[in-house]
Amino acid sequence: MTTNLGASSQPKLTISGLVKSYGPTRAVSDVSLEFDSTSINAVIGGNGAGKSTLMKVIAGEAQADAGSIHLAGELVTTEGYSPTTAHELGIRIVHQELSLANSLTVAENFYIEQKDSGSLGFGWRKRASTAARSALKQSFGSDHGISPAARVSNLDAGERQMVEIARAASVPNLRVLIMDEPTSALGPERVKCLGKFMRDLQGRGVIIILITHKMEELGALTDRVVVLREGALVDDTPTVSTTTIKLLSKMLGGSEQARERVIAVQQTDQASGDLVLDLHQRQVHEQDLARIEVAPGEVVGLLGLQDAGQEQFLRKIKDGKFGRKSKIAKTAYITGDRKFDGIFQLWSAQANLAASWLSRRGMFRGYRPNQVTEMAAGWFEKLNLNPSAGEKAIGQLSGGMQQKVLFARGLSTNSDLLLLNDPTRGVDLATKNEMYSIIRESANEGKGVLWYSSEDSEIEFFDRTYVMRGGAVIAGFVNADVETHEIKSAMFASRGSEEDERPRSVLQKVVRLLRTISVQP
Amino acid sequence: MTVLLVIDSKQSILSNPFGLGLILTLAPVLALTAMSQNFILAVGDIDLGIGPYMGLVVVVAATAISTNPLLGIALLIAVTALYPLIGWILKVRQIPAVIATLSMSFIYSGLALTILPNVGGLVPGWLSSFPRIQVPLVPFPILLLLVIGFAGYFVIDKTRIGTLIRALGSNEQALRDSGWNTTIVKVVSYALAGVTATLAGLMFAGIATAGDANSANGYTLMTIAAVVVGGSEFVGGKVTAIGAVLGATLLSLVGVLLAVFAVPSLFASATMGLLLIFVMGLRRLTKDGARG
Amino acid sequence: MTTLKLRAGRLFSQAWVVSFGASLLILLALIPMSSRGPIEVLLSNFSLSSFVVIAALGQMIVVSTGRGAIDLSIPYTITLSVYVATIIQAGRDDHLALSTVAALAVGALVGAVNGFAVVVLRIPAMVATLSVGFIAQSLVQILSSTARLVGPSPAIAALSRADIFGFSVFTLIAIVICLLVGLLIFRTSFGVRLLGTGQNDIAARLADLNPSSTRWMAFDLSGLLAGITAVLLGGYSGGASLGVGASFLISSIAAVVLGGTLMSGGKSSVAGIFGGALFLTFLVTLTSTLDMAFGLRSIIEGLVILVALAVGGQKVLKKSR
Repeated sequence: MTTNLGASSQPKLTISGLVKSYGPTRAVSDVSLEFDSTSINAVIGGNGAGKSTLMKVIAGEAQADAGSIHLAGELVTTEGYSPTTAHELGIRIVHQELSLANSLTVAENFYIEQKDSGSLGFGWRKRASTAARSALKQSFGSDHGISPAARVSNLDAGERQMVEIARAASVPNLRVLIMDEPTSALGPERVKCLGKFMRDLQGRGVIIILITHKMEELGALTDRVVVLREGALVDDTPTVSTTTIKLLSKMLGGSEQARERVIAVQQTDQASGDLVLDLHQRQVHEQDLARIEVAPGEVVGLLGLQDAGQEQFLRKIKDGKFGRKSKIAKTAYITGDRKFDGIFQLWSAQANLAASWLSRRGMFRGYRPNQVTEMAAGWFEKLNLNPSAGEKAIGQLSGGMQQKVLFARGLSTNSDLLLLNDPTRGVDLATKNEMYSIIRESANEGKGVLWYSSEDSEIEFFDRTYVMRGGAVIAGFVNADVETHEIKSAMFASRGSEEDERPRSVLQKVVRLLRTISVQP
Repeated sequence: MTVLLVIDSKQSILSNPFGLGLILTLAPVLALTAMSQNFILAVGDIDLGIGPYMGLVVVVAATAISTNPLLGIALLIAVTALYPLIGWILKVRQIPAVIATLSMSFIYSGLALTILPNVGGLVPGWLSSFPRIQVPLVPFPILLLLVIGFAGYFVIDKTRIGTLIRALGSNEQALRDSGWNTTIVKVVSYALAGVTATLAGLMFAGIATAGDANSANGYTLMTIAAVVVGGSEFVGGKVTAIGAVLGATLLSLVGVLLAVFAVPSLFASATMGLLLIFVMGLRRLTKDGARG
Repeated sequence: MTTLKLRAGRLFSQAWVVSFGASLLILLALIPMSSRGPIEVLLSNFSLSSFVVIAALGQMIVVSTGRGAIDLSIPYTITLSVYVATIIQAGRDDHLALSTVAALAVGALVGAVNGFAVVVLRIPAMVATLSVGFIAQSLVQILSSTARLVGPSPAIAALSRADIFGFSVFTLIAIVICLLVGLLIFRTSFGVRLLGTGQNDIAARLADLNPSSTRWMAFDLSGLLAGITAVLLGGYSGGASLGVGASFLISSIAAVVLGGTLMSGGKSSVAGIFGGALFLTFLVTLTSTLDMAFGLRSIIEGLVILVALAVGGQKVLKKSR
């Protein structure tokens, strides 16, 4: 289905039958694709579609479980394929998480990556500066406004992104350039420059692949759109032959996966009483929501693309950092990012379980070990966990079991509001279903639940849904009143650019004014 | 840095340039140790053994170098080599720098005492006359400070190896991904620290003229104070050479200022401690303020 | 057969076992060398180590909070508290109780200031405790030059020499404090908070373990324990002197590390502290019995600690994303 505009002599990046799993989750599922430089390629998809994983495998940052990748006929994914080998082959990837050294200057960062073939002397800095300058000029035009002598920590997010892109794209042996959300921090003029640069590269025979969530940019920047959903290829069309709506429906359509239901999930009656969460959000853009609420007994979803700020939002609620007007009831935070902010790795499962309960009893309150054992045993039974797992080190339990332990920890605090940070991440299906029931039960008992989920199928459990983009809540829905795909589409809604933001202070207003003046042609 | 300059401007009380020079005689020593500490901070560690190390160097200077220069120089090189060795062990065995350098301080101190159990020996003439050189127009210590500052700035901010060292402290993963050997960078950084520390010890020996293993023990804490006041940070490898020199100068001047105001030397340590807390607290507040 | 091997392997991986074992080895080496019987050697070393044990317990609590926390003010706190106690005692017994309370209060106060600097001002623990230590040092210097030192109270000096069934009273006190700290860490909420904070700061905050107040309390306790050390030390060393607390920096840290507490936080071993302190004391006794020059002894002590670290290798708790 690839559009072959040019001669078949163009080197192709061929992906055959690629499979990659992370634990029980299939991130990439038998994907076969071909890329070449006859078109600028976009790869899009919702959460968990597999785009990032696929790119990581191409760039040598992850090893595929099955399948292969060839470039111009040569096998790329050999044993021990790594980023260093990828660089030698001319395959570069520019991530969203930046890989620059912050306390160094732009030129020095170029030196670190590209080293220096010159003689042992002091010309290296000049050479690196020149390299930086010309790379930036190539990618973003003459007035990119970044000095090679500038310290990276002093650049704003957009400028840093520009440096990253320019650096990766300036290597002489470049054959494949993959960019993950390159325009996320760039303003419209810079996006235009980047577009022009991509065309230049394409003209030189470089294969370009873009991961993007900005549907509005596809028309201007790309020729071909590949859609992934849940690890599989679902669409591959020229950009001109498709529309945003068509693409959205391909990305988010109903899942055909059969689901095993262990326990029937019941809906609750409408709960009454005081709100457990009543937040006043600062509106940075016009469309941002001003108030976010959760009532007792409600299960409210928090959706959005990856890194739209859901986790930070939940943490902010937990820390209570919302100002005096907002009201937050007693909260329990249950995370799905178990290793990072959930489990205490040196402890047993039951110690992990009892930690919050013990701590909340008072700083110097004593306890006996059998109190912990009994308390844990009770929860183990309630959550259908093997009691012998109690004394094992938590690291030895499966992801699903660990998650149950974290659930128990949160529930044992008897809080009114449960903050769920994508708790079904990397968990097997049976456990997931058990969790869904636990959540619904807690809501039935009168607790409020605010649930960040990266799995679109979990929408069916929400009474209401909030959608986040770019760090703010931008939309709220009552699930019964709308179609699921309407909610999901909101995740891609553009929020407005930096220029449209409401200034935060007088100083910001002045800065904004100065910027507009200086940008005048 | 701004805090530093504000306080510095209050030093205008001391108007006599040569008096100033005399007072600042020890400042270059502190500046060198601060520079040495900077190399260690730049890779994310800390050196708690620099005082006793200098004592070792002083002892070597007062004994071997004056009696048998070749042996003395060899010994000095051997001793300096301990720094990169310790850096290598730290990296390979993942030992926290705090304890490793503390243990080394015992070893340095022990070596020094073994070589020279009692105060004695004589520092060679050429070494002791160095700090006392008179230069027209400007007091020699100030000249030294400028040279040290410039040299440090040059090495850390301008050379390739300086860039690599700063990159190690800033984003080790990125350095590794670009294909550099991070162990070698760390070892080189420690070697530079060792050389600088040896220079500091030699200069101190020149000023002290006799060998005393314990004479430089107080420098450890003063060095940390100097780098902190000067603006280097413990996390992220952000070090500033100029800051180190300024910090050293400031601390030396503070000592003098206290004497001028007839503040009993008893308060010297407290002043240093309070200054440290004040500077760090202020820095933290301004950082948080700028972000919010 | 394999289970036995496994069990042995597990046992030896406990650092405190190793340190106790090493102490035993040194003891065996000492016996032929010294003129006194082995039991006597053992007991006198127990007694000597009691000071380090108590101070090291405080260090252990601070180190357990993680994020590179360490208390570098302990030597100065001890010296200051000893001075305060000795001055109040003034060579008599009537103010013994007051002096004890004062010493403990001084320790706790220093700890509170440390806690403030680390938690509120968010100064890295190393610098903060160093600075506070500086201030304490100044206070010591002031006291030493202005106050008249007579000597410790005879009662406490006598206590330092007293023994019950051969065990010196100080040893027993140290053991009791060990037990109390052990209880604190393994049987109270504070211990849960402490070890949780040390393992994962962020998870601790989100799980209501209150890492900030826990940290503060850890520094308080370290100061308090330093104060207790000072009370006992005053009686033993015949009063205050400028360097009385100096050796406690390296010995508290070494006892913590050798005893199996992780420097990165989250894991404490009270038994290990005892073993580590004992080992260090034995080491010092060995080197002095062999009548080594002071310099050589320093080298050996430093080298032993370094080698123990290099061989042991501290597991760094990696938080992966």
